[in-house]
Amino acid sequence: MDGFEKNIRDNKGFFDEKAPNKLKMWDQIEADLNRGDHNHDDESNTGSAVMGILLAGLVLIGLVLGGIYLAQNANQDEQVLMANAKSSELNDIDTYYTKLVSHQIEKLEANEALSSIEKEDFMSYIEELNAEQTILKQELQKNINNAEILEAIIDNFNQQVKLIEQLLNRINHEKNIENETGIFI
Amino acid sequence: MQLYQHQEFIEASKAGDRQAQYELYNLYVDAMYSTCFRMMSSQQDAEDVLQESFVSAFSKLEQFKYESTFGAWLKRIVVNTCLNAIRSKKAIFVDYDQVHHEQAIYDSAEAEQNLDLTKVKQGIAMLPDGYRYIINLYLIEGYDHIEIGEIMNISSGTSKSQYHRAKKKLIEILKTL
Repeated sequence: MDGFEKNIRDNKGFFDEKAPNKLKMWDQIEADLNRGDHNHDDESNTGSAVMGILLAGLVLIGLVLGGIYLAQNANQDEQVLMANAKSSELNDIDTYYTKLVSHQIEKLEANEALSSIEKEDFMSYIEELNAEQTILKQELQKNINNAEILEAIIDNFNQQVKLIEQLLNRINHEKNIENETGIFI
Repeated sequence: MQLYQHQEFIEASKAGDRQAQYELYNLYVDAMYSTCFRMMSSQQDAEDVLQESFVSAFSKLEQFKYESTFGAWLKRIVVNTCLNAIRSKKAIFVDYDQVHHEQAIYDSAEAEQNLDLTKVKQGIAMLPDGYRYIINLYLIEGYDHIEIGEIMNISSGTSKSQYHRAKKKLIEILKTL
């Protein structure tokens, strides 16, 4: 547990609320409890074995149906959670690569060896890859389990990073040759 | 001993003593209302769920065997009643779109340095519902992930991962406040 969590837990009283309408709520609780008691008395008075069997049967059916309902509910919740977990993983991948590409683009834009026209030309190619990326993401939302689309998305990101890196390497290489030439001349 | 706290009232309540039940209600109503309000986010819903929880607790008080404190036993009923009420209205956890655009940078240390409890309270209230439930259950109600897993019918691993996402989101919100 980190300090942030500890601070909140140590001060959890701060998050409490005073219950309004305590007496009104108690009146309602008491009324419900009294109703329950009456029902209980009535049932006792019948004392009939037939009624007992019928009630037991109803309770059993209720329990079975309730069990099925709860199991289905739990299953649905688990599925929602699994989908959320996957979405979040995708989100993390997306965040990671988006940052990586943005960082490379920043380096590219800061590079003085390229003219603004050259930069625009190059960026138009990156934008094409981005457009393809958007389509892939839309496809993935239709089926979050599609590993092929996920691979294509990562591949697309990698292509963008690689292209920028190659361009920057080439520029740096040319710059070095120029410097070396300068020294020797 | 903590486990046997209020034993007299509890035993009398088991026997149907209304006054003893009222005493127990008075002892726990504020704490349980706080839990309900944090989960339900509305006074009316919190009151409805609280009433239902106390009726349910007193009706099955025979099942209470001092294996935990009465407060912990009651709170479990309250939390389950809240979740049932929520389930009847909507899905518990956030959907894909709500998490898709998160760009949070997880910086707990920074949040810790600038911790303002009023803002934390405000931030928790602004969380998507599913995140709010898990933050409340873990950080404020004090349940561990195994208990949260049992309460919500999920694995403790899922509880952990949902909690960390919720915390990340909370820190992101706190930075904007």
